[in-house]
Amino acid sequence: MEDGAVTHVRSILYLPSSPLPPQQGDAMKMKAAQKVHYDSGPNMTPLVDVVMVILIFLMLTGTFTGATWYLKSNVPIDPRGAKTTEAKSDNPYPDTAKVDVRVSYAPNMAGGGQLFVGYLGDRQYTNVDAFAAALKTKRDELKSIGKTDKDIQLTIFPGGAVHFDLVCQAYQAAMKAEYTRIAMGTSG
Amino acid sequence: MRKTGMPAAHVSHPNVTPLIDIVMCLIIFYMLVAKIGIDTGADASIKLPESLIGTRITDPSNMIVLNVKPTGGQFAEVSMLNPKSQRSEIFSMQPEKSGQSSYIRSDLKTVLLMVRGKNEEFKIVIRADATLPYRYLEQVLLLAAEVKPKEYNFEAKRPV
Repeated sequence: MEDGAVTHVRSILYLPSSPLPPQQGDAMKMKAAQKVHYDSGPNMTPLVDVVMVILIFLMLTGTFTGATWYLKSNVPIDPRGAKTTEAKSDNPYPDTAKVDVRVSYAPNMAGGGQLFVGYLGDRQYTNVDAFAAALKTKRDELKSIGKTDKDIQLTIFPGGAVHFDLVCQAYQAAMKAEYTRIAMGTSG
Repeated sequence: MRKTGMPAAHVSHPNVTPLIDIVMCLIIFYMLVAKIGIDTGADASIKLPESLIGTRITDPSNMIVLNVKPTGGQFAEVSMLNPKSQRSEIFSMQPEKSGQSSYIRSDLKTVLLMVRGKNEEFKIVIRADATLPYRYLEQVLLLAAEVKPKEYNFEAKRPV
């Protein structure tokens, strides 16, 4: 019976992680096994400190990528009436159809500044969307006679006193009308 | 009965694993969105015009930024960061000699030609205030045309 009692005790305290089956002498180890060992793992505090320092560094030194983009003009300015900047021999598109638009302004009586006035041919447009629609119509006409995007050159001639933001509005209208070759002209 | 001592109480420490996860996410976020150490010479005092459409420049290495400002007179002032000397330089578009056109500025043209070198991908980015009259910008464009860049880009900001 005593052996059975010892065996019973052994089965209770038998630790599954123990590689060895219960043997004589394990009774001594049973007491030690009662002291539970808590594995705390690696100390995370220094890691958190370093990560916080890196984070603060990045927050202070970095600047967010600016919400800016670019209006691309792939042809140099064309001073009509003066020397041309692009020699004929450099022009890879000799059959270019030229679309010239003028940009002027009307004074904004309400809030100051300038209001957009665009000219395509003899027609005047005070609304940028209408101007874009007219440009698109012009482009479609040229495409219907066989011109491709590379053969159509749109040049914007702003007045000398026209503010740059109105020039950008004309530019946007040209981009909305899907012109791919947009150039700037002189004001004279 | 044999008294057994109470086992030592286990002090529970806060679980820092989620904190580290969040902080790592924030670090990756800031690393991706931040621009560190990139100085293109852009003048932050210039209020750019707004544009609803535009293109992005994915290759900033082949471009030079020209900041165009009015001077109160009839000639523009151009500032740029010289990538060779890494110094900010300011040029006035006032003609060097009387009777010359305003855009014939040999000093600015020399610098631009030096920066361009033989780079066929050389691009010029023009930053101008939204209220800048076009006649000032025209002076810079006429000069820059002589440098023959691959393209011009007018910088605009996206409306909020």
